[in-house]
Formats: sequence, C-alpha cells, structure tokens
Amino acid sequence: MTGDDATTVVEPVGGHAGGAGEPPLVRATALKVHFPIRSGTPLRGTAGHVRAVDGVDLEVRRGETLGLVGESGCGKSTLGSALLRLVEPTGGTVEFDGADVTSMAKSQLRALRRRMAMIFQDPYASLDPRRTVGDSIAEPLSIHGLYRGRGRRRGRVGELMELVGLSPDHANRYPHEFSGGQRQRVGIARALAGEPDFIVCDEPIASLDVSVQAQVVNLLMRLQRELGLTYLFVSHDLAAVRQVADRVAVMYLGRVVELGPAETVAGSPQHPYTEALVSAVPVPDPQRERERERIVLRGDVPSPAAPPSGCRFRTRCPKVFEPCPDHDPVLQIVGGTTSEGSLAQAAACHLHGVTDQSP
Amino acid sequence: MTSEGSERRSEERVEPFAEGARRQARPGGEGGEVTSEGSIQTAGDTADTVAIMGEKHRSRWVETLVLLVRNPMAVASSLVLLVLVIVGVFGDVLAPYGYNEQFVGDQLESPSGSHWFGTDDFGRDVFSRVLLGAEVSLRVGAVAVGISLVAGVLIGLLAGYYGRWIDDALMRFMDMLFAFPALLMAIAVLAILGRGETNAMVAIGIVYTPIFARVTRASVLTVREEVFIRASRASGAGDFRIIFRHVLPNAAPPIIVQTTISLAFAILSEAALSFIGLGTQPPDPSWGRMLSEGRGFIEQAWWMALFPGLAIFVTVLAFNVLGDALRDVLDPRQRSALSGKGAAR
Amino acid sequence: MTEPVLSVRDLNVGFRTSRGLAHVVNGISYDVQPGETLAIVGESGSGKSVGTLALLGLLPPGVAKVSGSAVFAGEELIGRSEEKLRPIRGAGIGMVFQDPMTSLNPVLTVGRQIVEAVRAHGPMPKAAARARAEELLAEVGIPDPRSRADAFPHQLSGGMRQRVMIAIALAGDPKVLIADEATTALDVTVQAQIIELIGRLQSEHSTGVIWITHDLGVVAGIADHVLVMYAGRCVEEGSVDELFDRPVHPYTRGLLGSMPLVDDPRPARERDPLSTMPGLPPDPVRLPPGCSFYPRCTIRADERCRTEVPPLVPIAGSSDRHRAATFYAPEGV
Repeated sequence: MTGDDATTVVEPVGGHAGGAGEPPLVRATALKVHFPIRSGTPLRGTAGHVRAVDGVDLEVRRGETLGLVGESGCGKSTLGSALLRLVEPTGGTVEFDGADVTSMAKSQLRALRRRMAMIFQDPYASLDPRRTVGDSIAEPLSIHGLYRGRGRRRGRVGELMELVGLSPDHANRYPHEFSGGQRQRVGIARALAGEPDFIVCDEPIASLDVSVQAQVVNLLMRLQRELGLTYLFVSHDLAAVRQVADRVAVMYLGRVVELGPAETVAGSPQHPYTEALVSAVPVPDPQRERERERIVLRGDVPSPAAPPSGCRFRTRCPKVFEPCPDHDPVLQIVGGTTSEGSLAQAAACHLHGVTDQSP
Repeated sequence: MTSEGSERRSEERVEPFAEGARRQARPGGEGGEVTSEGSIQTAGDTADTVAIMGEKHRSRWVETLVLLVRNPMAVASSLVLLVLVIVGVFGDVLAPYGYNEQFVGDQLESPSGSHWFGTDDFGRDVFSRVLLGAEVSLRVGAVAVGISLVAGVLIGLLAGYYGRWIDDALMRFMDMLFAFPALLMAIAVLAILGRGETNAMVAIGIVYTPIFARVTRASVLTVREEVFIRASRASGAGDFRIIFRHVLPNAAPPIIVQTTISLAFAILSEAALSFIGLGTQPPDPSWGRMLSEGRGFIEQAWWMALFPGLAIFVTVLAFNVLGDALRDVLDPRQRSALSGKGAAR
Repeated sequence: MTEPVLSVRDLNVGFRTSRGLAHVVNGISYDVQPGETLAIVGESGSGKSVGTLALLGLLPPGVAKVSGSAVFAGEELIGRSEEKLRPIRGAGIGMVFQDPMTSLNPVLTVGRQIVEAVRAHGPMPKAAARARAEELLAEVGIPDPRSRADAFPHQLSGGMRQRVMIAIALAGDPKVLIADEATTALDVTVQAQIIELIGRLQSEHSTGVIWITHDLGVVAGIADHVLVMYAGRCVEEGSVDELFDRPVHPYTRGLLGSMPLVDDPRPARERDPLSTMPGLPPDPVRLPPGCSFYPRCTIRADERCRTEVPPLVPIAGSSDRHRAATFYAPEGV
C-alpha cells in the first residue's frame, strides 16, 4: 500500500511559496502511524491497529500555509504530530529540510525541535498551570541554550510577548490569570521562542470564541508575513482554513483524498467527500444558505481499525460505482494543468479515472 | 486511540456553573480591568498591550510564605510542630525526671502536681516519658516516611511516566510488597536486618513505599497525558526535565496528602514493632510503645495511654493541617483565590 | 400571528459570588412560536445558556437569583417549586445539550435511558415503554433501533449519541425543544445530519425550537428569528434576513465580520484580514454603567453610550421585530 506514484503526481504547485526548483521544507513519504489496540487480557498482545495515518504523501513548501482539514478521527492531528515525530511513525519517512527525521537519533531530534514547533488546540491545557507564562515561554530557550543569562533571557521573553500582543509585564503571571485568547498567544510565543522555520498549528482556534478566533488567525498570518514562517494548519473548520491556507489537503480515514490550492479545493472540489464537506459548512448568509445545495452524508465514518476495502469513502459516498470496492484510488491530478507556475489540484477518486495503489 | 479525541470544540460547556463560577478565579481589587473570565484585559490584534496593574510581583517563595502566614490554621500547625521539634531536641533538659527514673511506691499514680501526666506501672513519670518519647517518635516518623517517600515517588514516577514493561515490572514488585500484611512485612525485614530502632525505621520505610508508589503513579498517569507535557516535548525537552519540572510538581498534591497520613501510620507502626519487641527497646520511651503498654492498664490508669495517644493525635493533626495548607498554596490557581480573599478583607 | 408557546419577559439571572452578584442575564424577552426556530447567539459568558436553564429551574437554587416572567402554555415558570417544574421538563420543554457523551449515563444502555424518560412522563408498562423507545430511536433516524437500544453510549458515534439525546428529549412529546449548542461538538457533516433531523421533527410536530449557538453560520441556515446576546443583554434581534442583511449593532456587525467565509473565491493571501473586536466581554460583577459593549466599541457614536444603557428599539426601515440596543444608527441601512 505505498503511495509512491501519488507523490510524483502532486509535485508542482507554484504560487507565492518557494521557487519552482526549491525542495520542500517538509516532505512525508508513504507515512503511516498505526496505534496498537491493547486487548483487555494481559499477555495477549494487541487486538489490531487503529490506522490513524495510513500511507500519506505530503509536502509543505517553504513559506506556505498548508491547511489540513478533515473530521474527527481522520488522522489529521496525528499526521501533524508525526511530522514532528511527536508520535512515532510506524512506516514511511519524514524529511525536514533534507534531513530524515524518522531515522534520526533522539539527541539530534531534540536539537532539531528548535526549528519546528507546535501550537496546540486547547490553550487551557497546553500550559503548565504551575509555571508562570514567562517560564513556559522561556523553556525552549533554556532547552536549546539560547539567550543565556537571566537578564538576556528575560529580555527575550519580553520581546516574544510583545510580538504576540501581550504585555511583557505579565510574564510573572500564571496561565489561569489569562483568558483563552491570551493563553493561545502565550502558546504562540512559546512556539516562536526557538525561532522555528516550521510550525504545526493543531486546531489553534477551535476552543476559542468567534471574535477571539479572528484575532488569533490574524496574528498567525501577521507573524507568518513578518517572520517568513511555514505553517501546517490543522483544523476541522474549512472556513478558517480557507482564510489562512495557500493549499489545502483534505483527509479522510487516514488518507489524503484531495489536495490543491485552497480556493479551488473549496471552490470546485473534485472529491465527493470534499464536496460534501464544503456543502456542510454553514455560511453566515441566510439567502445563500437557502439556495445552497447541501449534500447530507449518510451514516458514520467507519472505524479506522477496519477501513473499507478499495476506496475508504465508498460506504458513505453518494457517487459510489463499481470499481470503488475493489480499487484503492491514487491521488491523481485533476482539473488544472501541471505545467510550471500553474496550480494543480489532485483527488483520489475513481471518477477521474480508475487507479489502484496496490499492484 | 488517536490523539484526536480532544479536538472537539470545548468552549461553552453546558454546566450551569460554567458562566458564573469560573469567573471567581481572579477577584478584582487592584487597578486594571478584570474581565468576565477573571483575566487580565489585553489583546486586540496588533501589539496593543494594555497597561499593567500596579502590583509588584514578589518572588514565588516569599509569596508562598506570605500566604502560609495568612492562613491561621497553617500558622497554628507550624507552631505545634515547632514546639514538638524543640521538645524532641531538648527533651532531656525539659523533662522534670529521667525517662527511667522509678518512683517506687508511686506506681500507677493519677495525674497530680508532681506527676502532671501521672505515673506508669513502674512508677515512672509519664510526662517526662512523653517529652522524651517525642524524639524517638518524630525521628522514626520522619526517617521512615522519608525513605518511603523518596523510594515510592521515584518508583511511581518511573512506572507512571515510562509505562509499558517498566511499569509492569516495578508495580508488580510493589504489589508483592503490598500484598503482605504491613506488620508481617516489617517483621520479615527486621528478621533479616536485626532488631533495633534504626532497622525499624528502614522496615517501616519499606512497608510504606508501595503506597507512595501507587499514589504517585496514579497521579503521574493523569498528568502524563496533559497537553502541556506534549508541548514541552515539542520544544525539545528531555525526559529528565519533563519529569522533574512538569510531571512531579503537578502530580504532587496527592503525594503531600499521603505524606501527612503516612506520618501517623509510621508512628503507630513503630509502636506495634516496639510492642512485639522488634523496635525501640525498653526502657527507651516512644509514644507508640507507651500507648501499647498503657493499653493493658486502661481501666486502672487511663493516663498511661491517653497522654502518649494525645501526643500522637496532635502531631498527626498538625502534619495533616500543614500538608493541606501547603498543597493549597503551592497551587497557583488556589493561590490566586487565597490572595484574592486576603485582599478583600 | 399565532399564540406563542413560550413567552419570556424581562428575565434576569444573577449568580452570587464571593465578589458580589454577577449579572449574567439582564432583562431578556422573547417569544417562541410553535413550529418556529428562535436562535439565541452569543459567545461564552454571554448568558445564552444560563437564560434557558433558568426557565426550567436547572440552576443551583442557592447560587442563582432568577427574576422576571416566563409563561409556558399559560403557566408561569419562574418561581415555581421544583415539584411543579418537573412535569414541564421533558414533557413541556425538552432539552438537548452539547456533549452527548457526558449527558448520557455510561453504564446504562441507551434503550434503558429512553425507557426511563418515557416512563417519567406517565406510568406505562415496561414492554410498551420499550416499544415506544424503539419507535423514538427509529424516528431520530437510528438504523436497526431494536438492537441499537441495547448498546451502551460508548458503542455509538457522536452523531448517534446526539440522536439518542434527541430521542430522550422527544420522549415527552415537548412543545418546545431547547438545543443548547447541540451540534457544537459534532463534525460538520454530522452537524448537517442533526440539523436536518431537528428540522424534520420540528415540522412534523410543529415544535417551537430555541437554538442556542455561537455559530452564525448555523443560525443563518435554520433560524426564523434571531436574538444576539452580549454580556447578558439582548443587543439586537430580528428576523434572520434582517439581521444578516442589515445588522445594526456594532457587536453584531463585528461578529459577522470576524467570520471567515468558506466560499470567498480569493486566495488566502489576497483576502483582507478578518475584522476583530479588541478586548474581552466585561466582568458581570461590574458591568459598565452604559452600553456593555462600550469598552470594546470602535464607534462610540454618542456620549450617552458611556452612561446610559441603550434601550432595545425598532430600527427605522425594518419590520418592528428588528430591534437593536444602540444609540448609533448606521447610515445607509
């Protein structure tokens, strides 16, 4: 079940990020993360595997924001963590700036963590309640031996806090003294402390109120402009992803089913799942809501421990036809052209020609 | 399971208290705007920071101390423990009589002006023996609990943090120790080490280690899954830093409570060991010994058991109260509530 | 217009806290018509949930102070004894909460929990109640209700659990259904299923629905009438079209502007940043003397904004059900 051919197809998307020939900052190849299901009885080992990420090829280009959308259980957060090797991949490789992260020694990996950071969903849970926010922001500095000396370190923490719109005078306060949005700013400051190139934003706005979400989204975009950051923006909220992402990857049951420029993926989705997802996102306009055609999917997402044969979406797909149960579709170029500078969109669906991953 | 279970939106939980109770977190009273969630008012999109409150931040230790001093129960219990330590150290100076000084003919005398706590069946002054017993009991309690605290917490940390086979190996071993009746276990240890006070301390320490290991492990298991632990690892932190900077401080509250409870049990265990002749050797006084000796005379001479019993009771109570107060002031969230209350007064 | 099934007037809820009374809901009034959906929109802390919990006496009595009036089917709810409220809960007004995992008892089968709800509203033999439970499960679109009734909550998906919650809420055949962030914890495709389900049930039984949410997108799709809450006050209300087409209150406008649109054709880098409202909602213990949105308001059209609470008044050029609590009237609206 390798998806090697898929990578070659999804190569070129120029846009704003990176030059045409420049290698991607992060590249995942045939990445798999399977979690063992421990059986209840001791010594009986595992009762199967949850295939959270099951053969994903993905590139994140320098300076771009790649949106990763999907519903709960599709494996998008696991994929984000696996790119940073915060969960161990069970197969495939991840390269960061040309270096193989998956085979790297632990000490090497820890040093590399300075260049790749993560912003977490729940700002209430992602800060140690017993340490001041200044301590939390300074932690990456002391881990990597940056800005040595008390005064310099404190100065740097102040700078970081100012950068994310917090007052440096609040460095001595504890997380519970801040609102959700402010805590998320602290989380962002911590992520920036090591001056990373790449940040995985794991549902960074999902636990925030609507008006605060907008603040954090704008902050993330400003920081990207000012610091030249590369983001993987993981979210279940397609509208938010549309706002921030240059390209979007849509995940379903451990696989990327569609990939392309954000505006074309959301504007003319080529995979039936993406189509349903886009149509289900509510639009704050009653008129358009009445006119829109909503595709309501039947049934539930199958268990990632036992995905359906062939195309994984076929059990819920409104357009299912005869090759679907037998052939596992490959991510292939659809619409757009692949020539230099133009935007490519890829989907893993037999409607665009029957393909099969397994020989 | 995958790590996605938590990716649901968690704002607006539907608890009737959610909107009201959460905002008690940081009471106002200082300048600056305090908001619905009780938080500091800042934020806007650009770096529009807002003026700080006119409040200086003291160092954390000073603040902890100040808060402790503000709690009358904590002050009272600290004073009691201070007195106990003084008695333990200067017992022989303070005691009116020697611990083995026998007043022949004054056996089983009830409390009076010359013998405040009465005398025992050998005609020894119970008051002096209680004063002198403080040293033995406190030392046994402190050392035994110290041993089990350090050993148990380390084992619990390793088992809980690393899990898998390390957890299985360590905890099955702890279960084995735990399965023995405590006294039998201590006797077995003393049978190997030989009798005597020091060995009794070690034996009691070993007996109580599994409890600390269990409490620590349980607490570590919940803390280990916290997102801030993952966040720290994402920053490149190693296991050592994560365990001692993040896991242990957050896992500490139940351990503190267990420590104060165990102190009481350790003092009583020492009594039991001494009673069967394996701990403190007669005629040395220890509260536990005195309590068990007094048991036989409870109908004729209640004072023989009552006063050492009271001493144990007061000590344990003082430790418990102080432990609770410490647990509260060491938690920043509780701390804000406490200092807020102080400001409101 | 038909007789409203639920009519709330000047509802106030305060919480006693160590710092004084927190004014969580301040003078909310609305009507729920049979078969109509009223959406109450607000962010966390706006009082949108507390206001409806208060109707059913579900707030802790020692802590909450409730005043005002709420007439349901001709009967006053506020100030009723616990005993007299019980028959109204479920049978008169049903509730569906956000988190279907914690709202269900994990150790009982879902069938048993529905049976309990059915029998709570009147004595019924066990077998009949069980049959009714299976009927309800079928009604909320659960396939194979007979065997699913024997499932435990953890064996069902989030969407299924929420359907079970709806079945429980329907057990008493309520005239009003309160959906309190009922789809917030669900994925969008499942949310679409649940919205469709509630819409169908509503039209079949002509139930009045109060839909409490923070999501303006959901509101646009389902609501007939919308109430926007901020700091416990209604800052604007109107029909769904009026409110979205011609929002008047700066808070409503800010909220709408802060929502990213999924169908904006421009690429991310060509879009304008989302409009934001600086700051946070006020402390309910110390509400500002004037408009509660004043500290965050960028318009501040009138000196009275700071000192007077703006009344909820009809908007010129709209129907008289479109009202806003602001001294500021934007031009061209």
